Amino acid sequence: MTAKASQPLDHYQVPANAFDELARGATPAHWQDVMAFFTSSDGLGGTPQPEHLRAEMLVRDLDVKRPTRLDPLPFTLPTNEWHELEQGLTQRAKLLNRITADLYGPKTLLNVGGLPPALLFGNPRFLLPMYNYRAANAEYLQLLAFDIGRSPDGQWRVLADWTEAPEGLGMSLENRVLAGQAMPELFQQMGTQRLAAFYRAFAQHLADRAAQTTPEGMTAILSPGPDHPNYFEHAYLGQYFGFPVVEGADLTVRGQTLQLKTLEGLKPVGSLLRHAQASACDQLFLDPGSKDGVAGLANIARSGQIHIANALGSGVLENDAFMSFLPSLCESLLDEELRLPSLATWWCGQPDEAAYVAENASELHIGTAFRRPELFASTIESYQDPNLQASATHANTAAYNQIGRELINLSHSPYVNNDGQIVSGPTVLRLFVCMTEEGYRLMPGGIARVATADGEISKDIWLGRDQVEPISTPEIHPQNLTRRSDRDLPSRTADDLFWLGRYLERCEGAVRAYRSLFSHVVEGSSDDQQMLLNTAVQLLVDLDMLTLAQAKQLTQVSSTTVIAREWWSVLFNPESNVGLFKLLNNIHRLASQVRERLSGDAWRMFRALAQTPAQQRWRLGQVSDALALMDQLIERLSGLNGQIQENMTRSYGWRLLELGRRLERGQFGLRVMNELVSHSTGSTYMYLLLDLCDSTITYRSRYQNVPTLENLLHLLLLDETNPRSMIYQITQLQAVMAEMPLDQSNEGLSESQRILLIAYHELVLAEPDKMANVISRAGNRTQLRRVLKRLSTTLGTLSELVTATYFAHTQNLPSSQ
Amino acid sequence: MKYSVKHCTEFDYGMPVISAQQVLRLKPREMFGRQTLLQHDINLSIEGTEIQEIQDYFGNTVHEVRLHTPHKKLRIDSECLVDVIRRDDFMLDLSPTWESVVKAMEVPQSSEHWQAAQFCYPSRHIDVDAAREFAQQFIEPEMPVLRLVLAINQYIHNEFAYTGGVTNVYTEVSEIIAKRIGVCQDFAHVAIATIRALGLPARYVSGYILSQIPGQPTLIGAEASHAWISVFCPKFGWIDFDPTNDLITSEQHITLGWGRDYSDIAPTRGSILGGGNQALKVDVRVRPAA
Repeated sequence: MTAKASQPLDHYQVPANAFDELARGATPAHWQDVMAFFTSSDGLGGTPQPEHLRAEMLVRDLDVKRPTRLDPLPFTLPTNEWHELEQGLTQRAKLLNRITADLYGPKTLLNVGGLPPALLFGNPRFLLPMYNYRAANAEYLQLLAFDIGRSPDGQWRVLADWTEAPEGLGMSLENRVLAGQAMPELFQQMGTQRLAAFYRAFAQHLADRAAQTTPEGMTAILSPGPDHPNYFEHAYLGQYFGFPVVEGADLTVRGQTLQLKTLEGLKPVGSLLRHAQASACDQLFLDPGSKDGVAGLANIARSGQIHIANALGSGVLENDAFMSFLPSLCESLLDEELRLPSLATWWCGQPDEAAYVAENASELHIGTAFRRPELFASTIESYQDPNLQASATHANTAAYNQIGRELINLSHSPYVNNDGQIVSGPTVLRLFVCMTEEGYRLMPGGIARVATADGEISKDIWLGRDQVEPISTPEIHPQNLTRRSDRDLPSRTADDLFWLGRYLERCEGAVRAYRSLFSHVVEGSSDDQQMLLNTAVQLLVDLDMLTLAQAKQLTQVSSTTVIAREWWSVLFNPESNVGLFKLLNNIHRLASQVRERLSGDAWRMFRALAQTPAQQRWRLGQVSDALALMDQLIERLSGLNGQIQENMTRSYGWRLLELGRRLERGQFGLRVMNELVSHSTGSTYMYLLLDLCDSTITYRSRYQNVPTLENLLHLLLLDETNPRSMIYQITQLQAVMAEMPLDQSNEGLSESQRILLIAYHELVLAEPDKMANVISRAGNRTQLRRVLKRLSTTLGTLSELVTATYFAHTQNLPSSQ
Repeated sequence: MKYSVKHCTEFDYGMPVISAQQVLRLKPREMFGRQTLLQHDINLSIEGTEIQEIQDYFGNTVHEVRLHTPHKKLRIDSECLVDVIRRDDFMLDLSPTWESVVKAMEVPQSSEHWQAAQFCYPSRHIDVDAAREFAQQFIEPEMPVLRLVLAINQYIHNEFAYTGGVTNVYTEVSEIIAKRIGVCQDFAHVAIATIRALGLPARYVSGYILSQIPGQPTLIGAEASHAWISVFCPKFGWIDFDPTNDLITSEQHITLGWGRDYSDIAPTRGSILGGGNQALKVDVRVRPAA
């Protein structure tokens, strides 16, 4: 190595009492490609160092919480070790599956095998309602994760078993995409084993089980929803596999089958990849306090009507208490020796072990035997640092819920620190085993976690071409798996998309109203000023963006600065239950609920939109800042709309957004024009209305004169080429509804198509001059009022029809509803 | 002694319920030598209801009911004829010491003991750790186990005030012990937590009680569902104690079923879509029958 190239390793310290993955700087064969690249001038040896290889540069702009950030330097292992791990962990998966089958079946391990009763009955994650559950093909655990660490003697040991709903599969995939993009040459050069075949084999297996369980049965990912800390994983996997991501409320038990409520009615579900805790999955037979369960799920699962991965109750083995029993269980159940040792544990449910833990407390990590399900629940330090004891033995805690485990000096592996130097830290690997048609397979990759001074980081695990036997299923990218039509769109998601479309449009309307208000307030003469203020305020009240009390207060204020300050406090007060802030929050909430339907770009734009008012640069009460803020919001909304129009496939998802948008835009236009029924029509006033409807430029280019009411009505109501006109909204709604499911009637037109057609004809036949000039004695434009009112009824009815047909599924109920 | 029981449950909703699922545990158990079920009928006020009868883990009969008809009222009528057989095949002082029962539960030697052993641990409503300290006052070395349980039973009856409306199904054992107040369900939960804290097996029993026996005081818990406890003693089997009435049950208690605590054997548990505010009315009539 040249002097320059050795620089990044200058600070690499060989750990004193631990195994060094880099073999004390001698760089063993399996590390050579990685280290050669990272110390080269393309890697960290050059000046300046490439930014994308600096640890902090890989923290992507993700809104979702990730447990750890990603280090660019991959982790790697030699062939022979990987084979040992593969054999050891698939054996362990098989063993844990057999134990689970026995515990939920004949329980011979207790009666005959001598397992102590407290191990099962004192275990809160043993779910009695799943008793005598005989899983199809005796598959209870389809996805397992193992945390392993290497002790100073070079031996890998299992630190923790994850059997409930292991997390990390989505994160591994994401790590791989990021790391692979950052170092494509190294990735190629090492011949890094790809993950796609493994994921595909697992997805295929789930899909096969679904089809076996229920004809036409689909596979879905059951998630606790966007509030769950690992939701990004569920969404990521859903997108990758092409499986819908559903919550409890999306599902219903009908007859003896599980059904997904979709846009097209109920659809059978044959298998679930479960990311929700089992006890929360059924409020009838499991935890009665659960808010996102599926009533009756446990009952149909037990009778084999739905295949759940992993089986409800699989968390029974997700603890340290079973560990010390595994060697003997392996011999009795599999007639084999346990290949991969576990961390030494002493479960205090037995008198001798309890005594040992009491005597050796200072050299052990003492904690709860039956731990709670959390991702990366045990920190790396807790495995090695005696000062980090979870708790000393409690007189008030039952002995069977206490455990002591040995402390271990974990092996160190290299990572890139914030100064661009390669240093080392204690390391734990999380590896995944999945059930496939060929039995259990170890994923050729995984997550390496390293403890650093700045907290834990994660690393992608790369295995060279010669290191792993490829999984024999053909290498097809999972995204090419036959995707189900998006008619499986869950009703709840459909509802969210519909409202997202409405809120986006409502937001745009409101921002235009505010912007007009601010600019007219600044520019307008005093007479106009009051009138404009009243109009805009009335509109905002109609839009639910202001309360009546606030409106009254605001219309009485006179000085510009005071107005600006008052407006500011109403609009952007996070405490306020009306106003822009609330609307932006709603948009963000809905967008995050349908995130798996959005592209990464669209999602980032949604986030930027929501954060617009929170930026530091806005000075409270400054009119110029308010205008700039409104401009920025309009810009971002337009960008987002462009993104949706240009980049979203014309699926049901897009149609629902469009439906929401057109309905809302139509209703907004009607509200604006309602002002014309009783008002005089000065030109400033008409320009305000044109501005609110974003039609000022169109008007000027078309008429090139001072606005007249007739022209204005023509443009806003009847001009089919103006995308802001009423007739435009009606024709778009007709087009969208014609493509919706469940809206086709055998006898001619459906109800929604009928009312839209009537509205269309009324508009075509309307006469702008009469609408403008027929004025009653009370001073109202009666013709105009009639047309607007009928349109308003049409849009209201359409909204109700959409809700009843697609979201509430009242069509499954007798017509009395 | 034969009884006829009419148990009527009425739900009243503020808004229509779009669909509902209910789990009913309203069919009295057959108990060899102790209780015979002569007749049982269950009726729901809404037609087109799917009803499925299943056995739960503990052997109780469960009716799973699915309603897909919109409704604002639901009435569930359960009627039965039961023969309860007087029980006098045990003597408190001849029961084994409580220490020996703890040992037997740690290393069960028969399937009956294995069955009992699972009632020694915490469950959803039974926070055993919360009763650990409270339990210490009742133990004396070599005490016959049923004497020990009787002492706990009497203590709860004497020291805890029976008051409705203060607690609910989510009230925790620690709070009931601290406030010394509650209803039959709370007293059963405290007694079970105390017994389990000592390493002994105890289960929760749901059922009915006859209120009026000529010449005897009125018992609490009639005209509603009642709850008490059952304790396993290797020599005599399961013996039932009623902490609310300071009784060892004999022939006034009609057993519906049992579980680890209320959540395993609640008479009704439902999950509804829609409904708004709901009002629940329960009416129980227990009458001696010929």
